[in-house]
Parts: sequence; structure tokens; C-alpha cells
Amino acid sequence: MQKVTYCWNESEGKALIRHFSVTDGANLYDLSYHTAEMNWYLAQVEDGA
Amino acid sequence: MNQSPFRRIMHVDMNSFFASVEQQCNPRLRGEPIAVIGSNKRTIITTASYEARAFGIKTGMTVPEAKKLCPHLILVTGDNKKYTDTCAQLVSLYKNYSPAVEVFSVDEAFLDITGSTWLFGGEERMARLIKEEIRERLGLTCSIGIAPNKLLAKLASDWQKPDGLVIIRAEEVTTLLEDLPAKELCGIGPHLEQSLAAMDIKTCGELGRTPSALLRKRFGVIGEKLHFMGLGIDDSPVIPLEEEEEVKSVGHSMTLEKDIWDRNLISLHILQLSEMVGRRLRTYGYQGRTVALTIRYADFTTFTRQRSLKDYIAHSTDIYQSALRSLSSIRLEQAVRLLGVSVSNLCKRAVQLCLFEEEKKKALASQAMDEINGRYGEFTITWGTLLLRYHHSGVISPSWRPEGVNNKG
Repeated sequence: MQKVTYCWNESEGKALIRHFSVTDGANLYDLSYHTAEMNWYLAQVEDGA
Repeated sequence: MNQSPFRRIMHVDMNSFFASVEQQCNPRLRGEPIAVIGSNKRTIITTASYEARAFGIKTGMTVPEAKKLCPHLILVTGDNKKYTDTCAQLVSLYKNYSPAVEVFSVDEAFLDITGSTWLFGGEERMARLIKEEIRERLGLTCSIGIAPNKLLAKLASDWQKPDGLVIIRAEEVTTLLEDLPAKELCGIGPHLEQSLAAMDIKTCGELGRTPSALLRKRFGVIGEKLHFMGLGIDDSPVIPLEEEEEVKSVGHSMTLEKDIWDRNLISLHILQLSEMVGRRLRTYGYQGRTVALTIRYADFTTFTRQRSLKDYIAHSTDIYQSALRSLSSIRLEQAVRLLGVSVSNLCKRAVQLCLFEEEKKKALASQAMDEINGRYGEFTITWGTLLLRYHHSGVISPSWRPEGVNNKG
């Protein structure tokens, strides 16, 4: 990953989900971390960022 | 109307907020004409970047209209959660500069900085520090206005966009307002502007010189306020969230994916809205006695039907039944574009003990659903009929606040 471009939080019930927009220079990824499940998710990929 | 000569108010207005957030998230969008739209199937521009504004693109324009002005316009579907969280981050940043922060809308806030400017080396330096911190932490720009009151601070922040800083000192107010068109003041819209023009009032100077009795005669209670606005006087306080008045109603509305006639489908949306309203009422311990159903037709004609009940209610099904009764009394003249359900006439914790077994079961089921949804997220458990519910992107209501009962979540 080259850069974290933006971060924001979202609540889902009692759980907090931390979103990270990250880029590898070619594509843009929305990675999210579910704080209750302690799992990472790839929420979205955008080609050609 | 008394106004403290020492009062200093700051208005922070985020520049092209939704579009700037999207440009921060996606570097490919930076420097490009982009427009944020509500959802892919609805074609109204919510916000446009400054690059797009240079082509004449404005909020409220349809996508075909915008594309005509700028064929290479990039459309981005908005993500309200991203914007509301960014607003919450901004509010917590502002609170490092003043304890009195009023969230005016998702992208605007007032700060009463009267007592705290000396801590930051004066108001101009304080404004520059805020701008710098916002840019550093979020990559966003804002326009800041500082003036003796909220009316003038908002006016000042509008004068320099993007990334502006305008300071109005008390001694400059009369000169600044003399030839300023009255419509530039917050609260004077096109309709009021026309009515004032009919009285030969076009500038703030003329408005301030018009006797308040004359304005009161023409405009009623707001007449006197208009007179003072013309003079640049506004003693309204900056009201922090924790001091806001108790809510008077709780409501939700949704613009549908497409305009619909089908009453069954409309009822389904009303059930979803009733559940959202009921959830918020119960979460904050409110009950209400008046249920209102708002319908907007395809041509934007909007009307509300409301009915008052004998008892206070908070159960989603009770809200739904009442809204449905309102729906049944309406002969639809056009396809429906937007639906809204709200409950007013509120009271806090007017708990009525259930006398009958059915009522007890309903209350327990509702409580169990609330606990599950509270823990795992909204609509984790819901009625079977709502399984295919509409996941609308929604609109951030003007009453949205970073926390509390107004939060549209």
C-alpha cells in the first residue's frame, strides 16, 4: 500500500467499524476493520485510482 | 435588542464538503470536475467540486443538465456515513478552540470565541490554526468568517470561497452593510427578497432604515427581526448541542429509488420508516401522540397528513397503523417520489403498563428486537415483509447532529 487517503468510522450496533481508503498507486481500496469481530474486510475496490 | 460590543463569533463553512471528502478519499478525483449524487438511479446533484462549479454546475441540477455543461463530469455516489463521521471529527476539533460550538448543518458550525481568542494569539491566528489543523488532519479546506454575531459571521464566511478568511469588526458593520443586497443575509430567501423589493427595500442599509413597525405590519413577528438584520444586529446565542432544546418531533424520510404508484409498495416503505422512527423514539425514551405522513409527488408537490391519537405511542406497528390510516385517506394524484413519517407531541417516558396479554407480548417482542438491533446494527432483525427493504442512501437532514436524539444515524 502506498498511502492511506482517508479514514472514517461507522457504528453497527455496538460495534465500531473503522474504514480506511488506501491506494497502491494504481487502485483504490476501502478496507474496514470490525472492532467487535476483530476482522478486516475489503469493502470496495476501485480500479485506476 | 442588546448586543455585546465584545462578542466574537466564528462561522466555519466547509468548502464543497461532500465533493472534497470524495476527492480526498480518491486521489484520482483531485483537480477534476466531480459531482456527488444521492444514488445511481436518482439524478440530482448534491454537491459539486469547485472544478465542476467553474462549468456552472450547481447543487440541485439534474445530471443531464450538468453533463450538458461539462460532458466529462465525474459522478460519485455519496456516502452519508463518511460525511457525518467527518462532521463529528470536525466538531471535536472545534471544541479544542472553544467549548461553545453549534452545529448549524453537516458542513457548517458556529463557535463563540469571545473568551478563548487570547489563548491562541488573537482571532486571526486562531482561525488560521483551525484551517491548518483541518487541512492537516482531513485534507479539507474551509471558509471562516469572524464577526460580532452569527448573522455577520455567516455573511463573512460566504465572501471568500474557497479557503477564505474574512473578519468583520464592529466598527465596520454600518459601512459594509449600507449597499449590500439584503438577499445576501442568511434568512432572506428569494420570496422574502421579492416582498422587500415590493416595498422598495433592496439593500441592508434600506432595510435597517425601515421602521420596525412598518416591517412588522407587513411581515408579522419577523418584521422586527428583519429591521435588526438590516442593521447587522443579531443577539442569537451559539447553542452547543448539550444545551439544545428538547426535540419536538422525531422523523425520517426517504426519496425512493424511482417514483411509485403501488400502494402495497408505498405501505412497505412506510413500515420501514415507522420502524426507523419507532427505534429512535424508544432509544431515547420518547413517546408521541401525533403521527404525520409526508408525501412528495414526482413534480415535487409535497403535503403532510397527520392524526393525533388518544394515547402516547412508540411501537413501530402503532406508528405504522396510524400512518397507513392517513395513506388510505389520500387519493394519489401522481406517482410518489418521497415518503416521510414523523411523530410529534412528544413526552418522555410516559410508560403505560400493559393490561392485556397481547399488548405485553408486543412490548416484549419490540424490546427484544431493539436489544438485538442495538447490539448488532439496525434491521438485523425485522419483519419478514421488510427483508427486501430499500437501502436508500438518504439525505442528511438539516436537523442532523453528531450525537443525540437528532442523529439520523
